[in-house]
Amino acid sequence: MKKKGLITIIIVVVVVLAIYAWIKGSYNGMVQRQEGVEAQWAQVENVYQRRADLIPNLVLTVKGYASHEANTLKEVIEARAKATSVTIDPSNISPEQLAQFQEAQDNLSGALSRLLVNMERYPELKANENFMALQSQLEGTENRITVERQKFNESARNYNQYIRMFPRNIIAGMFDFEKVGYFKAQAGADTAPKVEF
Amino acid sequence: MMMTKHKTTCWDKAFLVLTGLLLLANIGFAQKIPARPNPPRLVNDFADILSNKEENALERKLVAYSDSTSTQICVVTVLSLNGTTSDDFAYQIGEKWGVGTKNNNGVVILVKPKTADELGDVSIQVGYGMEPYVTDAVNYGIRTKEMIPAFKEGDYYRGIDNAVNAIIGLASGAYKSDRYTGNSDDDFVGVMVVFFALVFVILLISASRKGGNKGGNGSSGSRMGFWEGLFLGSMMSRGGRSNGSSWGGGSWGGGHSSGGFGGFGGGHFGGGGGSSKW
Repeated sequence: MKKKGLITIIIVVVVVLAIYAWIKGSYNGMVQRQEGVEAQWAQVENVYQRRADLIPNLVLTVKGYASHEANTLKEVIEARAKATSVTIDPSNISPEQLAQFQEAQDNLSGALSRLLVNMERYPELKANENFMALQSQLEGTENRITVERQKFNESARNYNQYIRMFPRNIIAGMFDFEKVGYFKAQAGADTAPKVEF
Repeated sequence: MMMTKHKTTCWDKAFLVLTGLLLLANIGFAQKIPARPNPPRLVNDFADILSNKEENALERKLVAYSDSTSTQICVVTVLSLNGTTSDDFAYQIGEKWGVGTKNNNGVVILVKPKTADELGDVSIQVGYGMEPYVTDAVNYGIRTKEMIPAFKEGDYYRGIDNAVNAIIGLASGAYKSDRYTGNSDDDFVGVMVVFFALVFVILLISASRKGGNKGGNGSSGSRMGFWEGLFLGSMMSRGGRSNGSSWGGGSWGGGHSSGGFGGFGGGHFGGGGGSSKW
């Protein structure tokens, strides 16, 4: 009788340990992936901030040469203000919040591209060293934005897949691991005006 | 008018990248870029616009630079961008091949030569660790002032060589190679392990011999074994050391291969840089 009790206790202990190990493994895996998403989000914010930082300088440079562009400039400034005001709590990047963030940033992309296309009309401006440097910086920043968004989507997919798989999704539910959003292919940029020569 | 055209393509491209790439990212990457060269090389002239002599001269220069600074500058020429932009193409080469080391100090110079019906296209993408040294504005200057004038004359080697020299100058002192510090430590540990293993084996053998002989001659026998072993051990350790520092044979030595061009080190890229057409 005593032996039977002992065996039962051992079995219970083994099962409890196994469950504990499984929960621990899954939980830590989620935390790890979540950290990956947050770190990548910081990179995304970095590159958008980089663009926002370039704009005042750009506006200043353009103002001197292109007085007729007051409207386009105002649009850019407003879009920038709106874009920088939308921030996301990195520990809760929900699809809705991300969509809002993206919309604000895409508006700025559209306004910027309109401004830069209009600048084609000002040859003196385009010969300006400062403007050329700014333009190459903006170009590089747009590249960076593309790359970091792409990397964010990859890490978000990695995390989402992990938390949504059965039976891990039970643990994700227990500890409130929520699905994060993705960047979508831009709707606004498609309408960016094209110049034909 | 030439300038006007150039500017527009710059901006068109930036937004094409934005839209096109994101779509592609969702589908997943098709095999757009060439496979990583094996054995690894820093100069990959797929478009065959450089002579063998030029290729080797460039490769030597880049390998020497990579050896002394760990910064890897990878030159790739292709005939087709396979439907993507040169920036994306170069970025993917950098990221997928892993140009650069853990410092992310890699640079990819991609050249698509001008053909009868297509513009030439050059992109310089820099790894995260190189962004402070080769900024976008400087990058633009290198492309338009150092490369494209030479390319317009059809002198691809001079254009690429100019760019390489400019980048080497910009990044001088930025990174140091750990070839002589980190790696030699690894070698030393390896040599010590071999040495102690040998001593241990010899002691075991001598002990067993001692046991068999029950004293007497055994002592001289064991002494012989020890000296023999020591000699052998020093031979081995010398062999080990030279192995470690020679052409990265991928031996047991260190984590990263050293010498020659040991291979790409897994550097990451963030889309820094840009491209120009001519």
